[in-house]
Amino acid sequence: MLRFLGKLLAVPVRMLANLASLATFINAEPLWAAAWKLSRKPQDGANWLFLKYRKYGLEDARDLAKKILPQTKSCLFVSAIAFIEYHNRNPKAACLWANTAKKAGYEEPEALLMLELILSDILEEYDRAQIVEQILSRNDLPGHVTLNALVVKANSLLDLQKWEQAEKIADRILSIQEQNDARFIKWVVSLKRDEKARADEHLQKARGKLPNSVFYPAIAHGLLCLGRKKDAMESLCKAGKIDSYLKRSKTKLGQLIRSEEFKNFSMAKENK
Amino acid sequence: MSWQIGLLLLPGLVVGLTIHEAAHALSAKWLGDRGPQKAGRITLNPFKHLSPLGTLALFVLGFGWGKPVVVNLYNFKKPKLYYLLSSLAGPASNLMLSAIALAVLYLRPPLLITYVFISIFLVNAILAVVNLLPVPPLDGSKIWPCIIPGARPTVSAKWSKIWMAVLLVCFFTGAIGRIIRPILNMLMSLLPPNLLNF
Repeated sequence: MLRFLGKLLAVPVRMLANLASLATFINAEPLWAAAWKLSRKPQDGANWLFLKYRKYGLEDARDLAKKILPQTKSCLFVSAIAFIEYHNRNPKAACLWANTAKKAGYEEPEALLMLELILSDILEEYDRAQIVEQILSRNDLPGHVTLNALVVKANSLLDLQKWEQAEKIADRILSIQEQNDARFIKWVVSLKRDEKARADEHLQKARGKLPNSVFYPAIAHGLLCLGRKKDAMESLCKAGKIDSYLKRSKTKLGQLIRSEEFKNFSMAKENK
Repeated sequence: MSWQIGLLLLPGLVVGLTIHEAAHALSAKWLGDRGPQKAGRITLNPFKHLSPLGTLALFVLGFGWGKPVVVNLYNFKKPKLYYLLSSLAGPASNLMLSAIALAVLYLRPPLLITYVFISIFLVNAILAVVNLLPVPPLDGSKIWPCIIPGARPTVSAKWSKIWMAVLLVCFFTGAIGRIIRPILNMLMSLLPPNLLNF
């Protein structure tokens, strides 16, 4: 009852905090702090943390995280600070936060699975296939976590040239929602079957509003799966600036981007 | 005026929303998604189901809502069919509750209990009907795409917000009232005669 009252009081405070966060000239920080103190919801703590990060930078956000953590002991909150570290291009620090929370036995360790799935693309200490299986074997995680694991699994099946299995996953995703990654998988499988018109249709839908830096690497991945390495490199060159995380990726595409062959190819293309 | 309406609606709404959301959560668990169970939603404790914002709105605006049960469709073996069933569970539970309340009212209980059961009967019947409207975030927006071939059961967050705004506009302009009024009249005619003995 008391907890509900606290949550009830936190509602108007949270609404004001949201409004204040939109207006740059108002300091929303005390409001988020109050919302957190009233509700003790990890999400309110995370919002306070994000605001701190945006306003004062990473160091202040870290200090705040250290202050809040002993009060919540929630992996949901830990994932917020870890994501801040990840977006700040510091995946090692993100990994450290996650590991510390897990060792300390914080609540809901499964809240870190999404973060671990993302980190597993670039950090050696994570086994990507194992994390994917861990996610897919559970039936109590949020939809976006399962979806991301399915996409990773389908893409790894494409790498192994298991077209039908990959398509099955893509079809399952598309029966529930429109999704770019699933469209890319359908595009690759259609190309493999020489169904050009259908492939174009899927690619058109996948394009959506994707920026070149995302669209062309996705195309490159598909072409690489089909064994068209030169076309894949051509596509990568169209992407413009390649994301630094993609350059570090453990996938076949990441390996291609790091290879001397691609470096020479892109240099030759630039010189032309 | 709004807070008085809120007070009248409160027993029916508390019971109705609790049963409604618990039914969604329980059916989702039965169909393969344990997410709502993990979130503590399979319970008859109303505080777990009432949305703080929806509760405040009840007293300020005269209408309220519960905390939605979030379902992971990827956990369902047959996503469309199971999502349809878990979405129908809410309105179906309200209809059942409404029928039970009506049956109790025919037993002519004491006055205070009569008030409570009239509230339960009316609010639950209206909850069941309004929730079938095909507008997000209402259950109807999840039910109809599961029935229509080729339609997808998920709505983007952007469209959800737009529809929610449309729903609020409909509420304040009286459009929802126009749907509810004939239902309310029909429901009132079902009540036992001389129930309140004025």
